[in-house]
Amino acid sequence: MMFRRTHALTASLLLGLTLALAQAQVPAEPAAAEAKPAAGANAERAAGTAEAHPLLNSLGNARAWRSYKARFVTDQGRVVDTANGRISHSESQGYGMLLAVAAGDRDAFQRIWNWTRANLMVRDDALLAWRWEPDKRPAIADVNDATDGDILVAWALVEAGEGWADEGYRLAARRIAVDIARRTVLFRTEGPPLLLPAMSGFSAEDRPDGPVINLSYWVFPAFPRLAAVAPEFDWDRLGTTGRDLVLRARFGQAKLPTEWISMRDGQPQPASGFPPHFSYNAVRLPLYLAMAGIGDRRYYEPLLALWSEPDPAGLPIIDTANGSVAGRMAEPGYAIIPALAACAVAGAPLPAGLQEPAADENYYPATLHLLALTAANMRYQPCLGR
Amino acid sequence: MPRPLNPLRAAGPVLLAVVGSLGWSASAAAQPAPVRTGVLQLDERRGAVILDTPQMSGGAEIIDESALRFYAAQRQGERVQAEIARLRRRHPNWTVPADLDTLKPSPPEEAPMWDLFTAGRFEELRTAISVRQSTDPGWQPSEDLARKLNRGTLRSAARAAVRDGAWSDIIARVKASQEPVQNLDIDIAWTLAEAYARSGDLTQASAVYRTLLTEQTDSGLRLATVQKAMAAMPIASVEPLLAIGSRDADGADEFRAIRLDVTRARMVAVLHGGQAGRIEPAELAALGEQARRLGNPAQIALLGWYAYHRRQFREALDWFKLAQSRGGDAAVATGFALSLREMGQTREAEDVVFAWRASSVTNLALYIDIMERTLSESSGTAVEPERLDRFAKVVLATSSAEGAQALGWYAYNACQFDAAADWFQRAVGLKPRESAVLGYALSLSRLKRSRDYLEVINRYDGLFPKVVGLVFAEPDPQSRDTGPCGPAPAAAQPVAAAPAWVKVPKPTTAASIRPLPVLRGEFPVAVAAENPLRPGDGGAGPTRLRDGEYLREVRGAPLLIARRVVGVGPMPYERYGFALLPSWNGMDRASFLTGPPTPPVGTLAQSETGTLIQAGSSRPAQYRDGERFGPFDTAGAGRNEPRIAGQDR
Repeated sequence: MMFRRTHALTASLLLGLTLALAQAQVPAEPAAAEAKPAAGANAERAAGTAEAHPLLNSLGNARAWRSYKARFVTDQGRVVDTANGRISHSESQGYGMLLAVAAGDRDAFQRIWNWTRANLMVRDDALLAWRWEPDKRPAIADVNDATDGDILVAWALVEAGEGWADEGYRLAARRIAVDIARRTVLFRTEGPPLLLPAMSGFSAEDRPDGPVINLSYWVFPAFPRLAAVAPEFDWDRLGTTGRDLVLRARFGQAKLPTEWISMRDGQPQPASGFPPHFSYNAVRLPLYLAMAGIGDRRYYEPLLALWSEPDPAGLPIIDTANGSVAGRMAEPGYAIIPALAACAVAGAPLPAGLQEPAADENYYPATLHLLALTAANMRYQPCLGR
Repeated sequence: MPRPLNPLRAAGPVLLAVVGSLGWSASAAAQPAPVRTGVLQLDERRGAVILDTPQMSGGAEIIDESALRFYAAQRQGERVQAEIARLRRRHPNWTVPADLDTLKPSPPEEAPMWDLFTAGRFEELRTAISVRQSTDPGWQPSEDLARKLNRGTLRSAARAAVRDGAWSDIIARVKASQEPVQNLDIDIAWTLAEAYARSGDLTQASAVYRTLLTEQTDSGLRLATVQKAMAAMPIASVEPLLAIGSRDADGADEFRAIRLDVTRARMVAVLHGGQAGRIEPAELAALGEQARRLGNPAQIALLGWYAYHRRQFREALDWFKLAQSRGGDAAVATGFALSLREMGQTREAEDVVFAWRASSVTNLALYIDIMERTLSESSGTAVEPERLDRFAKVVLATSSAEGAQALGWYAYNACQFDAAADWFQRAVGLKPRESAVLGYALSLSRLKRSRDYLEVINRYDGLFPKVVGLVFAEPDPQSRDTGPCGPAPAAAQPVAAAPAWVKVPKPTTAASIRPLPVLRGEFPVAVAAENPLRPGDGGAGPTRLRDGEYLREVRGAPLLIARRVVGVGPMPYERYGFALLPSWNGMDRASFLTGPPTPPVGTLAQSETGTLIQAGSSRPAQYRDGERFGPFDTAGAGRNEPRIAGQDR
């Protein structure tokens, strides 16, 4: 709501409306003129590279990527969720594509993207069926989409399109981005726009406490990149809404967000029918904030408090209803998330032990670990001692 | 395109500068530039626009009078005169403040502190004060110094906040200073208002601007305040401030100098679905006249988009054509093509976006959409071979699933089943949606490639009822021998009578497919669940696999009985009593769906369902972004506003 016009004007700039007025109103992030696109400058490209933090080759750890590929990526390009029945989902494919770009591995990127489109793009729109299970007839388990997976895949395609100057990737990115914006974002409601977790199942028509959102589906670093291929939508406003919700969705004593949040009447509340937990989903929030270059302590405050003392048992899963520890994210790779948060907010160095990922972790913590290292290498090199 | 300036990044003082592209009326030009000390200097010759630049160069600037005021308070007449002369040299339009004689002298022991102050060394000044207080506990700086220090600190804090975007800091600092808004230096007050606006508190921001407009009598500063408000807030929040503007004896609005800026801001707001004041036909006409005179393609294009938004496509077309002739960019080409299409000149639209496809992915997508529509509508009319050729090349180069599928149906309907199968095979590798898989299966059936045909049908058992329906279809005597290509398989897609002489180019299929042997019968047959089709090498080049580079997967035995898929309707064989296994989450009944699910209320797609192309027509059932593309697609209101005649010109 608040920045509606200012941010909308970005789009008008992208569309070439160089209003004198608009010139005074370019929002803080993009410095479009400084962009250095891979091939052929134009306005659309410029917006995406605005922050000049391209993902390509930003992982900086070839060994970790080789190990990741050998453990989770098949030669067909399927990214396997090893802790979850060896299934795949749009999220795992999107993460795999992002990491392949970050590792500068075009062959792997092409394999993963080929598999993704050939197996998950079974819907009539450009979104992806979210769940795929091996040795089933048919392998698709659910044709609903998951917007985090959709966003991750589209974002990876934008990065690949620019990094490797490939118009086909950019075209595919645009198709997905357009359908995310048109079919899963509540742009035409009172109040700020909300990103639904999927096209079906979470809206006000579908649930008494709907719309229900998942804040960890707001992939903050992706939004300015999607704006590069689908400039007619107000991604900036969507991101602003998400950041605002990070500040508002704080439940219980611990003031932590739950995984699933009801936005009935515009007030964030833990959604009914889901455990009111801060858990595996929401743990990605600080990762995405840091990847987007957001270092303002306010966004991280309750997380920094939660993680103030390192706990060898693993990151706690918090029941926001009573503040109790409901479980542990036990694999050691998760510890990169608190470290990255402290790095983004206060420049704290990443512990040396976290700079080399373990070779025996499951898909999810291993993925978050590599993404966090990518973020650190891309934006917070002093935390890596560089 | 001029380089967009970024006010939030810039660290320098607030400057008013001039953007050369805007002409101004003679009345504005005739006004003397208002000049005030310590503040700003407006060049009204042409449209003033608020800009920030890091350097103190050009335009106007804040004039530092602190030294002058210090000498005056100390009654150091010679130095006062020297400083006045210096300031006049540097700032020719500067005038001597009237209150120099009334300034109270500060105590002599403050002299070194004033030196620190005039040097901007506030931290050292604060240290000096506390050092002094440690030796002389009752000592306080003079009121003048304390206030100046406070403001100086505020100013540097404001600059830092603007630079870092730390808006909450500046708000907190001003609050802590306990200065009422009207006592703040005006540039600090502007920064405060902007801070409120940037952090989402438009009410507070408006209140600050309103206070300034109420208290401030200087016309230049009043105008600048409105411009500041326009830069920081949506025009809807600026409208009440505009209404504060006074009218002179002739009834002329005091803010008329920026009326075209206001009109433009209102148009942009309307295009984005926001609220805005009424756009007067006279203002729109003036804007059009100015745009034509200056020939700036971006400004002309704004008029084009505004006309397009109001569905005045003829006028939109004229504006975009003009913008193109003045060097318009890829976005102008988009508007041009969309307007052409709305005017029924699809062929011309196609050529425009084809020519501009490389400079914007929007135009590339629009080109493919236009061709897709053209091919699906081309029943009975030939599409020239060179148009087909250039489209096929683009489809191959960009791995467009939509394009491959469109070429597949076009070839199929032209009875070129070989080409159809090739294009559909690509489409199924790129995006195996039901319509592509159906086309592929039908083409394979026509070509009597029964093993491939059965493999495809079995792979999508449980997922695509129409595809599975091919092997369960009742023979329909009506459909026999009636199509243009001879006997058709059951349940064929609506076939347009395409002329057989159109040669559809074939893609070069790079993928090698090793179909599984058919185990028994037609259906069910055990097939691998993974889709083996690939669109070719995709530009990455084939790479030899190193041992252990990728995860080796052990596949289980393919299954014969399908399970339910969440979100999919009943399978055709269920009517014969065959059952499916439960879905992954235990559901054992078909999803209650008669077609693809619709997007939720509140999405852009849902708000346009009235114009959705219905499934079952020969046109693509799903949205293509190009079908509904608008440059300002988040626009909420006004799409169907009644046309107001004569408003554009």
